[in-house]
Amino acid sequence: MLKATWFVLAGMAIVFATLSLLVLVMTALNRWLRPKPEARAQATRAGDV
Amino acid sequence: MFEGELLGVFALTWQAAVMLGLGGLLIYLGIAKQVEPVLLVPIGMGVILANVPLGGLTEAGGLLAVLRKAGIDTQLFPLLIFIGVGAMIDFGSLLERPYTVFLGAAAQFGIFGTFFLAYFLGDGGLRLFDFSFKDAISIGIIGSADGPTSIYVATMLGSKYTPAIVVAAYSYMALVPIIQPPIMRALTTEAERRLVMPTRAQKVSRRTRVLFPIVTILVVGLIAPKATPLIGTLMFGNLLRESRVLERLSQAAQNEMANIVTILLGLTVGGMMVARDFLRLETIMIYVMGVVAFALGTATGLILGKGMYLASGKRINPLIGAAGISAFPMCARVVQRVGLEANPQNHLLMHAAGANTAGQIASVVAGGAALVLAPFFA
Repeated sequence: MLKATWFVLAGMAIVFATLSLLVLVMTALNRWLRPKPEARAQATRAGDV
Repeated sequence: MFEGELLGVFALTWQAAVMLGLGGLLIYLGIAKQVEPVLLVPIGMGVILANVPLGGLTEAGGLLAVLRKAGIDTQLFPLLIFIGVGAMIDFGSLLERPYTVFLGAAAQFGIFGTFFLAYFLGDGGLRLFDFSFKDAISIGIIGSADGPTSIYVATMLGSKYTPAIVVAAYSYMALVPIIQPPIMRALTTEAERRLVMPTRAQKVSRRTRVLFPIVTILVVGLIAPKATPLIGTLMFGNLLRESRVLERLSQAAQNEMANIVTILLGLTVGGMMVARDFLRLETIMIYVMGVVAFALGTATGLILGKGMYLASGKRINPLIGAAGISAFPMCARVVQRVGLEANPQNHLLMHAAGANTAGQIASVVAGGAALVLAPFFA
């Protein structure tokens, strides 16, 4: 069962590592590519961005 | 003179009769009770076709055998389904609330925890069931709450229980509204469930939406390369949707392609349920494990949700953690319903949708991680 324990730990580690990197990328995209003010105003009127 | 190849009734065994009854039950559940009819009706028909004695559909050259070889053994069907799923999903809720990704990650413990239990009951410990290491991984993947990922991982690992695993994965998705609420109420307090979260979130630009599928393929593919086929097809479908210049293709992926492949996939999965392979004690245990997988995933999502509730100064409702398993959009709707029960002003749908779509990505990553790790441990 020891190898099963390591499998569980390694699997969850890969999941969290991958998704943590994805959060960083999403945060960076949101920061660098945020909607321009005029686009935001248009989007607010259109109900979408 | 009527025996042998002429009259199937003489070749009908009690096992085949049970399977014919099971096929009928699946069709009944689909049509009369409307439990996942899109899947259960084709699966039920596939079961019947495969178990009619002397029908020959599952023998070499038979329709179901050809479909299995072309669509399941090659993993073609689940990947094509994923293009349609990607085109249907709006990742906007996730992009607006990136922190919900961690709820999707936590809920994947349903996969690994169930694997641990299955392996303990099988070859790794008690040896009560014929579950090898790879069978246990395939059983655990039911916890992804994601049919295509379950098919993909179970067939890649060559599990002999693939048909039971696939049917369990799909049928439990219909039972999410029954399985999840008691766990949600048990693991959260009334005050936590009543918590109203702000409806406003940061806005996301179109460029971010278009780039998101591409960067997700790169991030996931570079860390868990075995997940690339799944995440690649999912995100390709999403790119069709978000590009806004491929409306015809997006609609075709969501409708025509998804529908055709669903018919073929359902028939093929049903066709894999032949009596000699399906009627085993292990099959019943796999169904029990399916409940464990969904319950564990829900519980770990909720526990991380409670951690976020405390860490955020009681601004995040822990209920949204339950949406971390990827049964989309059912989990998000269940969270919304349980939240409304506690507080009629509490609308958690968009927050839960973020966790739910995160769960979709996380389940693919978990499946890829399991495939990457299996050769080292099995």
